[in-house]
Amino acid sequence: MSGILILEQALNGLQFGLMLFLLASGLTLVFGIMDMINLAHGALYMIGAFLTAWLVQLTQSFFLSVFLAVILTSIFGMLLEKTLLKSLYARDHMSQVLATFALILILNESVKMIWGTDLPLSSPDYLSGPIEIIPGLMYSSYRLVIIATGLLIALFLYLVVTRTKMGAWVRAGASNREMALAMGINIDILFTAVFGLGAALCAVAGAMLAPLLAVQVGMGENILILAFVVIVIGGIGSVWGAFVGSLLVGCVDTMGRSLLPFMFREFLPPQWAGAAGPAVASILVYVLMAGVLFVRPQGLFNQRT
Amino acid sequence: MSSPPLFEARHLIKRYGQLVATQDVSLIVKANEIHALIGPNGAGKTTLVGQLSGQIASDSGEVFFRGENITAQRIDERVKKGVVRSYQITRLFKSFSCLDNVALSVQARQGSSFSFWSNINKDLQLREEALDILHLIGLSGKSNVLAADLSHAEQRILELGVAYATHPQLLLLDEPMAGTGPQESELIISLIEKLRLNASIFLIEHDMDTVFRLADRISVLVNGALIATGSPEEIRSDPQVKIAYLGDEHT
Amino acid sequence: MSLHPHQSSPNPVPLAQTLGVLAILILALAMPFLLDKIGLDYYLGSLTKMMIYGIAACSLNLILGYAGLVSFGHAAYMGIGAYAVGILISQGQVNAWVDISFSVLLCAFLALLMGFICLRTKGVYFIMITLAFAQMLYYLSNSIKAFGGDEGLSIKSRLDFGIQLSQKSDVHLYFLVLIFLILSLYLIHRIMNSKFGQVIKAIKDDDVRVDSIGIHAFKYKLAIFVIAGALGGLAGALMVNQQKYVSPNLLHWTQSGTLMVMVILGGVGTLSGGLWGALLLLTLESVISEYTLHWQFFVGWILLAVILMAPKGLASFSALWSARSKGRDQVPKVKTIKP
Repeated sequence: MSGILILEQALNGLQFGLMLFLLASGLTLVFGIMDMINLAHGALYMIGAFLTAWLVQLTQSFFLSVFLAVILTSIFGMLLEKTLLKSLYARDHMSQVLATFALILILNESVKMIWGTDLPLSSPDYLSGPIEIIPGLMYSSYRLVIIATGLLIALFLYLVVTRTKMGAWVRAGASNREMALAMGINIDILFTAVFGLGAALCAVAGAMLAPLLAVQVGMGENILILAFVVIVIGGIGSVWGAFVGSLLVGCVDTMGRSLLPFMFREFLPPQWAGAAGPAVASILVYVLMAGVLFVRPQGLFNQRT
Repeated sequence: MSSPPLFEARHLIKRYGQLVATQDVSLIVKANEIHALIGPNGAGKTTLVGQLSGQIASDSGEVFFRGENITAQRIDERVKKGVVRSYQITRLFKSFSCLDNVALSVQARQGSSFSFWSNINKDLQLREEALDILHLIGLSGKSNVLAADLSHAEQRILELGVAYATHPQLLLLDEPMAGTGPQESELIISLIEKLRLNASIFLIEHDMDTVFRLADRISVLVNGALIATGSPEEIRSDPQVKIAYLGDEHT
Repeated sequence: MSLHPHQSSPNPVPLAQTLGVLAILILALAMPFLLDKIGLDYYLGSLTKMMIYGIAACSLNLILGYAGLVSFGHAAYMGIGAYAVGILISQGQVNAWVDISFSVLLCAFLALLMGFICLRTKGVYFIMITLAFAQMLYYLSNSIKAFGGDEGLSIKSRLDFGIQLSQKSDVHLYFLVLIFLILSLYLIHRIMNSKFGQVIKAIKDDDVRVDSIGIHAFKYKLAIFVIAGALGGLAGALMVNQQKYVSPNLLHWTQSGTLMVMVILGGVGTLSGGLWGALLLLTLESVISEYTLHWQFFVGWILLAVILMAPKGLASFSALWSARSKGRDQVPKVKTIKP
């Protein structure tokens, strides 16, 4: 098991973690500011992917499709917020869970009815070749683009949240909602904007990851649960926590899945290693989550008072 | 000092980020006394009560009951020792009837709640005692009314009844008369006078008349710090207190 | 000696309610013969499956409806219970009493572990981590090839209850499950009407207040978690026994969602709500599937409508239900006893 392999997997982990961050950041803000649990967040990720795959068939341009898909998904997200989700803010968590669960059923089936259960999508040809980033390590150029995109967006979010007025409102709302209301912040517009931003981020992640993970109905839910794990670890309402948590989860999951079976085969008798490797790898992130929760039940960087 | 005071807090501190809500507060509640805590809005009275009752973990400082260090004990552990709190914003079991609210308190005191099989409706002794308490606080006519359907004042009174049912030795009353009119306040005052026969009371109140009527001693909390403690006359004439209450003063 | 009107206790259960329960019981007992008469006896298997889900939904109701804890991972217990029995049978252990006891105890222990970690959190966190842990178990069962992996586990024979039961008879299986259902409901009834049950109901209203009167709420939440988990395991055991098959899908989070939907549709915080919800949802599913593949689309809309249109939220639905089943909180018949 070479250092090159580990480095490659670490980069994969970084790449996955950054995309996970796009979902988790939108989600943690919705939780933190609106105190609403939204299971349909994963569906937006799926819609972003499907729209991209469909638009590529029309426009033949990958990044143009991504751009359009992001805008369309964001608009859809804001419409959803203004019509349906608004009425859930005041409701209890159980109602929110069930209503957004119903939404998932509706959205999943709708996508199935429009496009079928899956659509093909491949990364653009000009990015299909690998690049030698350090001697001996050939890495997919497409994945490098994903990493770059993720880092840029993370930087952008950091600047918005810490340097702009809207960012200040968001931070105020995330830590103490009543206070934000009392300060006269226009909650309605803020909520819709935050939701629209979250939807856009989901769409970017969905579109960018689609060539690697396959565009299919139900893809949103698998990654949504990982996003939940990220938020639990990072703390609700904290974008920085979502960032740290995402990288942690991304790396642990990716590296665990690829490296653990190797390691087990080195150290355990073969009949165990075959079974134990994948099994333990699949639950590693959850063990991590349980560990964090045991020490800090409110998450590592919890913002809420 | 032959025996330790009933209740003692030493050097309690609580911070929320940069804000210091409780600044090095030390106080004593003696047996059989009503010790009132007054202070302007935002002084940190409810935070302090939270620290005394166990709901809020202090950053530093200790709490003693009958000489025993209870700082690390949970809310329910303190209640079993006899330190019971009532809430400023009514916290009752809204879907329960008045009777059931008090009965649960009685049940809690008796400590028999891990019983899975016997029908609670058949526990006549439990209901009897609960009815007696309802009678004491004047709500026996509403025993089957849901707590959610009571008037605000009735809820405040029920809140006291629920606390009383635990047979406390020290009652931490957080603004028991919050939001009640003059008539209902009288009712609550007479209730407190009944309660003091069996328990010491640490009373947080805004209304000065009530405080000077009921309290044996008064402490004044301003910006999280205790600026004075003494008898009602001492407090009334304390210049620092007058400054803190400029405009609120009752002479 | 009391000087005030003495409350007669317990509040007598309304006659209508008793007759209703009796009628349903008779109908349930007669069902196999009725279905046979009208030539629909192949539905008996579906009915049995509905009752099994009913047990699972009623067990979730303990946590969700009565204690007010939004646990999104309840399918885990059904799944683990099913796998436990499935694995035991495939290893040759077919004694029903051994297998079911093991399954129930295993799930109780699992619930103890999960509850101990999850119940330390509140609100949104709690929902997320119950979901996450259940999903973890799903991935685990998916990846352990020895137990079938993603293809699931098929078993050749059913549980042996030691009495003359035909292994293949749908009718015998139906009555078996019916007995377990009745026992489960009775158990829940006794528990929720006890002092313990009273604490649980109080926890739903305000768990901090429960601490404030001297009861350690955490301990009780953990206890109801364990009981619910155990019952969920029972449902799983019965499930694998009937289907002779178990797959990781039984643990998927959408199954947890389905159970929650059953509880909501049937009536939160009522004794038999889970059962009616299971019957309703599964019937809805099979009826709509006759017409379209996309039955989930329609169920989704129905669910959404139910949740959004309940005027004071689902509480109003449950208030309707509980006003009828919580006899004690109705306007009482107070008898005055002259001292």
